[in-house]
Amino acid sequence: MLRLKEETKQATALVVGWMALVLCLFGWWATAALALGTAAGTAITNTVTVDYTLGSDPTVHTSTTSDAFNVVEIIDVTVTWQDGTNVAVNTPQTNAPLTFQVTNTGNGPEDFRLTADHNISADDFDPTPSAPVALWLESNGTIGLQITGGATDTPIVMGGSITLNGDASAIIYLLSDIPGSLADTQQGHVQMMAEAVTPGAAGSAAGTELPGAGVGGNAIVGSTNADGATLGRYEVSAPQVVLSKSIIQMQDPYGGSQPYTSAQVTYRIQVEVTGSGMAETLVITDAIPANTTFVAGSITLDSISQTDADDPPTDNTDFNITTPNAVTVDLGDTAAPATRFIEFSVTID
Amino acid sequence: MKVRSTLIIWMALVIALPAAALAQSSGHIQLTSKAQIEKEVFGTEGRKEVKRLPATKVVPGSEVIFTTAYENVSKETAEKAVITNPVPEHMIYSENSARGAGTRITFSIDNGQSFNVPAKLFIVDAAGRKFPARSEDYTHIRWQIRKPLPSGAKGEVSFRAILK
Repeated sequence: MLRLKEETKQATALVVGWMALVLCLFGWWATAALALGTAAGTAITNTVTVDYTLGSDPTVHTSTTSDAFNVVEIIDVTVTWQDGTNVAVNTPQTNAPLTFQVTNTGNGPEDFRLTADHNISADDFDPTPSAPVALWLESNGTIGLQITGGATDTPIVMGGSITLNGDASAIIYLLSDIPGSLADTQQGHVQMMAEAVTPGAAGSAAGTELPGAGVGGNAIVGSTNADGATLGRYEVSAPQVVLSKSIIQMQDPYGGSQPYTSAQVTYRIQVEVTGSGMAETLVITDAIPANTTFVAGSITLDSISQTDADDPPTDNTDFNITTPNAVTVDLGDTAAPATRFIEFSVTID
Repeated sequence: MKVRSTLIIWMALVIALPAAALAQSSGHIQLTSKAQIEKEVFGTEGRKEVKRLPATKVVPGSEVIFTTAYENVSKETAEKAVITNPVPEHMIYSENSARGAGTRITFSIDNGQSFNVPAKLFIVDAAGRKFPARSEDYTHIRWQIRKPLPSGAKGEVSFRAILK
């Protein structure tokens, strides 16, 4: 009882600790987000005062003056790829998402047009934009893309725009279809682009002044030339599973190795996962040959005895349960490269 | 109808008054302040020149030069003149940028309560450790004019600051 209490305490402390960490992180983020630049249109006022006396009179006199100007809007945007590593895809595959972040690094609200270039030359294959919607704005508060269900993220037409305040950012998912018949590790690159919608801004030299285009006055094109672009990468990660079956032992009732009635035959199935990526939910099923009888308790996986019952978590093999008259071995998600050995025995009827 | 026009006149006055106060300074010493930016331009002979322009294109990261001219417009001699200038909100003082001939320049890091030279300004953290104050800690700049200012005497002081 005491021990349980102690654990509860620890758990509470852990939760409080995590909450504090989350709050700290949030606080840091909020500060960082505000620290980038003073908002366009902000009035900056300089006030100067002079105090002095006149002759021998100790009375302190004061004069003051002020001068003010407004902060001009700077138009800047960056696009960063968020996946970190090449996004593993199958060949073919539809709706494979890349994740990007578009940040308004300027100091005023701006609309940014979103487009993607799928025909990058320095890659192995060209993905194509998924239909009917290739761009999605993260908007439902749940990390990752949700395109079905109750609260989905927001679809955006290719070339459509989003509005971002100064220092604000948005997560954009770009969906592509991957062609078939590609080789493992081949890469397909897609460029995500965001450009300021304000006429004359995107692509202009840093320092270009755009009359009347800013908050309360002119706007100036920033160092990013009011557009941003970055590559995201897909990589074919298609594991191949090769099965080879052999007879490793035959024992006849007479001490020999001939296929007589009642002879015991031991089979070995070699499961080889090559290439890269993950062979997901890999299940090997092998039917017992005609005119043979399965030897109870004879299944081994990598030389370790398995039960015939369907009894996970003891093991993930069975005979005659998942599939009638067959040995079933559930290898689960298997990362390439990997080699597994399944053995079982039968007797000839 | 009449009530409305009176209201409009009042509103106009309310708007006009602070503007008038900003534009002029009263008293014996008159101050005028201006904000400028520097821009590299090519002169008539194709040489690069740094030109000062009014601060009309200030964006985050821009450095602004604030210059205040003072003039004793009275017939008397002004003494112990001290010019105080808070670093404007949203701006960071640029290190070693304060200028003022014939003045002693000091800074405040406590919102104008005390002033000292940079070498004697320290920030104390929660653990009691002392660190030299950095220019972004400066809240005010002060110029003490060393000599009395006779009638008609004038001069100027300046500093630079970067927009956050």
